[in-house]
Amino acid sequence: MDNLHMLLTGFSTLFTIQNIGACMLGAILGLIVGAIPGIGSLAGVALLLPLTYKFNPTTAIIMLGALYYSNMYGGAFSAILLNIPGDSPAIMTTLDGYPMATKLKRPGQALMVANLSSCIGGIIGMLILTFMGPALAKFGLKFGPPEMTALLLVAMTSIGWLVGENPIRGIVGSLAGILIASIGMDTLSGAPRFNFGSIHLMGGIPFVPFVIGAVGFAQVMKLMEERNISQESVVKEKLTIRGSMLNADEMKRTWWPSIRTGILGTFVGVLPGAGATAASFMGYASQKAFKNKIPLGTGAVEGIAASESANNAAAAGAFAPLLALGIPGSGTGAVLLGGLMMWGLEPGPLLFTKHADFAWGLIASLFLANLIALAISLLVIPFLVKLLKVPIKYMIPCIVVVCIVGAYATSNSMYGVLVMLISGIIGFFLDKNKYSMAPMLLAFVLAPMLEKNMRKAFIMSRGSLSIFFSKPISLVFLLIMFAIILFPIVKGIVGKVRKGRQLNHN
Amino acid sequence: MKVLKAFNSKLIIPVAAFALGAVFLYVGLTKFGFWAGHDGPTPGFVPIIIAVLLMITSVMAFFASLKQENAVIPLPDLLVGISGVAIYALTYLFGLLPTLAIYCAGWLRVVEKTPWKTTLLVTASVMAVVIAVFVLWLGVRFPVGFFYETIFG
Repeated sequence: MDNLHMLLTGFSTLFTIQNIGACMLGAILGLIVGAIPGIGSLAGVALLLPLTYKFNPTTAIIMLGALYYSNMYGGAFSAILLNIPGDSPAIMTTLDGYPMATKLKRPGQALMVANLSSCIGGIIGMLILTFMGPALAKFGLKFGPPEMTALLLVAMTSIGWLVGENPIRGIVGSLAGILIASIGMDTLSGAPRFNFGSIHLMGGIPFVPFVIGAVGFAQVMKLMEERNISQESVVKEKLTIRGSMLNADEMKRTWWPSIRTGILGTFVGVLPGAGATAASFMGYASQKAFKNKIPLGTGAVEGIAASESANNAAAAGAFAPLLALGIPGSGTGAVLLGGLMMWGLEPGPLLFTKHADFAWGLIASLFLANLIALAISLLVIPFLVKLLKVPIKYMIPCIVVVCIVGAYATSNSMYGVLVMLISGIIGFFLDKNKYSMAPMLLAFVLAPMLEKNMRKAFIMSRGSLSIFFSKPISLVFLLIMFAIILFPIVKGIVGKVRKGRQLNHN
Repeated sequence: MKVLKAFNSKLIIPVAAFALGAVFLYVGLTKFGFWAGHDGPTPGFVPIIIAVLLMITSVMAFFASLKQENAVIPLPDLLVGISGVAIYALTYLFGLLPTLAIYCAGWLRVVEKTPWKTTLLVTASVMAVVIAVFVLWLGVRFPVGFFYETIFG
């Protein structure tokens, strides 16, 4: 009951005209950016970060939460209407969304199912977050420097090791991210280091321009290949809210898959490295085990509901480790964490006690953002349909302008623009060679925390490694880390042995 | 579509990562040290460990890359990066906002062969949003450039 009381207090923090306005603005912008194919939630949140500078920390964080959350809603629009997922979590939505819009000629209903199930999944995720977040934080209070070091190593390893095709590339990205983050000031003494004589580097690599470049600018460079793809919308006539309403049967088929995969998606979202994309895949796969009125993949309402509910629930679930332990579960979570830290907020076990108003205000704002995103996504269906018809080739110079202006605005110098350009070009080449940016971003954000805790642990133990193995919690985390590292290696060896056996058999 | 083949980025990335590790290892060892007696780990402690690990993994990544095909990088993709560098340089002459307006119109007209009407409409809309949000709302003062400073002091 305490948690519900705190949540209500969070709502009382939230209900000011400025906060609700920021929440609405965040929801609208997040929805638009999420709907544009090829940008995705990571680049979307990075591009919109500079807009939060105008507000006080509470309002800025509320806007960030709304931005992040409504992004998840947007992805379904292009998935259903263009057969192009706005973001990777919406890939599964295309499987049934597009056939329902084209073959079954019910585009409005497909969008309505996606929006409703997103809302249901989101609410389930947030309810679980309301109870799990503080419990996780309470558990986190037992963590000293060795436990935090081990936990951060698990988070970094899981993202680096599990994202992308080749784990080595993920690890190279993570390690490079830690080194880049060590430029600037020493985390314990505050003395300058690795600045190579540059005054600019004394302050470190600025987070927002780095992220805008590595994610946003690199994404625009990639968009060049897609700029001539014609975006033929399936909607020829005007879509109206009344014409998009669901009948009783469709409502019933939306409800249960949304609840089931909402619960599943939340727990998948809590795991580092899994995220909304994995949740939507698992949600969709789990729906196959249940009875569906028409087969999945042919325009089934259940398919859209399962994938959309799971990915929105995962987005909410990812907030539990982010707020309670300071561990983001994905690249977007890392950008969000960086944004929160920019505002002086340090997510971690003490957040729910030291900055309870912030933590509960943010959770309350996610509830509100969810409802606002639902209302807006229903209201703006006709507008978004028009927006999706804007050719990508017109968007390229517009996004470049936003990247440059955003990088300048957050650093107030051309140095920020330079960092953005360099990280953008490097990010593009990394992506082309199948190096994911998520591990690097995550490591960049978590590196100062890792270094501070690791050094403190070594000071405590007078240089002995045994401190990490003598404490049960850190020992468990280290065992998990070794399991994560060994899993793909063992899997590869088993695969090769099986292949060899098959060849011998033939 | 023309593609960039000569630029072997699949090998350059692990080599660059190795070089990054080597630089941090050298600077870390020579300037910041690794361990200071009773005081414990120094500012170079974590970067040195990470640099060594990066060098080892980049060697592994190098050999893994040898088995893979070269990444195909279409030349037009690089236009965005080149235009970004050009905007950076021209800002010192013309100021940031005029350079961005010229870039936006120039890109649409020259690269995308967009009709004049659409070009001007898109450029005006983007610049209006930038000025409204960043100049009027956020109060950002963008660099005005050499020419403006020379003429208006």
